[in-house]
Amino acid sequence: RERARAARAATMAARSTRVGGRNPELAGQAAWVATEKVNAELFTLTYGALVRQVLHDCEDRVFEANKKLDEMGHAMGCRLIEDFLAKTNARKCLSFKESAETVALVGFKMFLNLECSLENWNDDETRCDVRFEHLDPFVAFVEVPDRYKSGDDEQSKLKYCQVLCGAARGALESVGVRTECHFVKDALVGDPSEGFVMRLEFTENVEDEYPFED
Amino acid sequence: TVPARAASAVPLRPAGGSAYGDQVIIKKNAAMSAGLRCVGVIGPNNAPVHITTFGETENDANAYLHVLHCALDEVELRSAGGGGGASASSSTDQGNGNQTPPGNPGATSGHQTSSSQIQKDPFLGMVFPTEQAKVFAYKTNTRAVFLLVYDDSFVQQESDIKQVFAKIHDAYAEAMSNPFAAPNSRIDSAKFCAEMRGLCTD
Repeated sequence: RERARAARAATMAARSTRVGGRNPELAGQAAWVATEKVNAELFTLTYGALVRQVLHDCEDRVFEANKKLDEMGHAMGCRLIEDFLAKTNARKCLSFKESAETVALVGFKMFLNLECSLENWNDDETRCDVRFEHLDPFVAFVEVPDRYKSGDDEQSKLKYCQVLCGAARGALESVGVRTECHFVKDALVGDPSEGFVMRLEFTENVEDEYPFED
Repeated sequence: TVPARAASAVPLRPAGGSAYGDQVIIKKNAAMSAGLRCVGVIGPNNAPVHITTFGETENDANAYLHVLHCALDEVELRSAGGGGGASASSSTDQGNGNQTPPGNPGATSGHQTSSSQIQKDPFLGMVFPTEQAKVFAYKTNTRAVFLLVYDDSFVQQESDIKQVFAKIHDAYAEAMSNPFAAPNSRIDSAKFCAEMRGLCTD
């Protein structure tokens, strides 16, 4: 942990001298400090009850439940982006890389105090992996029973944190960026030592639609 | 040889007690768990949700079932009406100076409310002595009961036992916080089982 912190501090120092001076980590930290806090256990238990209820409503059909969680996340993301833009003075992002950094380093930090890092960018800079140090607000105390994590098919495994992916997707869509977002490494249903890694992939820009012909 | 611990002196294993042989592992800070034979967690509906056994009966969960059942009866007696008669007989039984009267204020103060399910102190003390074992009970406000079965030949300090109960209670709370856990069914959490197992070699 100490080493990761030191590395982050080094990149932060390097970044602040860049042209434009964008520093998402600092912005995230500042935003987190400024927001009102809620008890973390309350959040965790509420989220757990939510997932339980969704599974119950879908009668244990995991595929449907995953989809439902994603849709709920999407709806939340569309609303959170307004809150985010109002509270932070984020400038317009000029590239997908900036958008991803803003979502992951500022957004996740501000709302959930999640520490993460972006890695594994592809050459186009349209796809990256978001590695979380921990996902405690969602997964503390949680142990997924075997019936939701067995099966070779990825689709038959419960995507417990899908709401987070949906939120990222919804927020980006509201600002005109269509993305694909899912967890590639999920410690709850897979190997616990691998942690949580979310893949964020750019699909297309959403064209602004004008309601009338000019 | 057993390294002596400042807080409580653990007696050396009795010379004739070779039955337990090498199974009981005593490490430096293990005085509190020396002699622990079984941990039982009983859910609010009186069905066992978790049993871990140590020592000789390592893999036999049923070895202590009878003992646990009798202890449960005693716990119910105590919590139902202060259990005046029952508690008096069992707490004076042992010549062991470490035994404490049950923490139920109803019994000591003499006044009993008919529905006094609320106890100020969940630690009920020693509830059931048999020839080879002593059972300690701890009842939470959610009517879950934790039972510790200790071997008779070891002496325990009450504070040590309370510490063990505190650990069990914490682990139980965490296991219950799992959204997929139901209050009356078997505890499936691997973490909880590992922590229970760790109580003896702790």
